[in-house]
Amino acid sequence: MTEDSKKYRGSSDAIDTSASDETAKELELIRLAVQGNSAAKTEIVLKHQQNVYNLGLRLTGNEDEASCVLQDTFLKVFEKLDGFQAKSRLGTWIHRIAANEALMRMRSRKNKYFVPIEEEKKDEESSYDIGFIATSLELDPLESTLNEELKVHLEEAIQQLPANLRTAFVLKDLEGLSMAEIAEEVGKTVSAIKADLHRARVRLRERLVEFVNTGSE
Amino acid sequence: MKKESPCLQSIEQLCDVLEMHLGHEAGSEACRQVMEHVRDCPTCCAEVDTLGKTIKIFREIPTQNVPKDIQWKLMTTLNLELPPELQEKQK
Ligand SMILES: [Zn+2]
Repeated sequence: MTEDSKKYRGSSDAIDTSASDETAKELELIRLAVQGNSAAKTEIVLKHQQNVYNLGLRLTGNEDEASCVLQDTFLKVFEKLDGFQAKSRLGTWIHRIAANEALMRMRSRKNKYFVPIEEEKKDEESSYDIGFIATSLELDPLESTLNEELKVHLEEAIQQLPANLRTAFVLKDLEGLSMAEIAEEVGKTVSAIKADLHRARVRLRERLVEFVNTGSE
Repeated sequence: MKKESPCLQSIEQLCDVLEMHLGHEAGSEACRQVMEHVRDCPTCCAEVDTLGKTIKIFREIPTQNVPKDIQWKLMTTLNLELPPELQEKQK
């Protein structure tokens, strides 16, 4: 829906050449929204809802939860908008609120979704042949656009990660938050986030190799 | 460090090198030195390259549009006017 929605958030912020124009427009929109202007509020919602929804969906893995994240996020956005300080872009700020809301939801059902660390360490030592992986990932489907089957497989792979690994991967690699931001968000050290992230990446790479070698035959 | 990356000292180091490999960070001097090794070492190179590819591929998964009923619920909750394409549902 929005032109930004498919971009990696970190890089889209960094290489925006018309940033000052955009910022001025955004500030005006915020000013109007704070005054209660419905059109301005609607514009903000329409511009950012897809990013918020997808973040919620990827973190919680559930459409209903994502819908709640979406609503709670925008309720909070408009509640706090008059205190918004334009140190970051509005999208970044909304994104952080959304991440917070999603993480709160995940924590509140932790028994079901947060896999204890001990439990997930078991498969970490699974041996693999890096040469085999490298050869597998040189194969064709990965160089071309994602086909539907691969897309479904990858979405599933993300959802099957234990919550802590999924959180690190979604927030860092898909949403472009910094390690420090994630650490602050989830209350862990940067080293712990890197460890989670690495485990997530290794597992997702396994799933990708598995798809290339069996799924696409 | 795990056995598959015998040369890199830690997962942290690998993460930092990957950041540099993906172009997110210029990398520290120490990181650049490790990167030089990675380029010349087939094992490290494969490790960094395949993890980098994995990230890039996952990043290409398109985002989903917000379903109409969820959008409708959102706009109603926020007490905002529904865009024309959502107004039908109001009846
Ligand atoms: Zn090496």
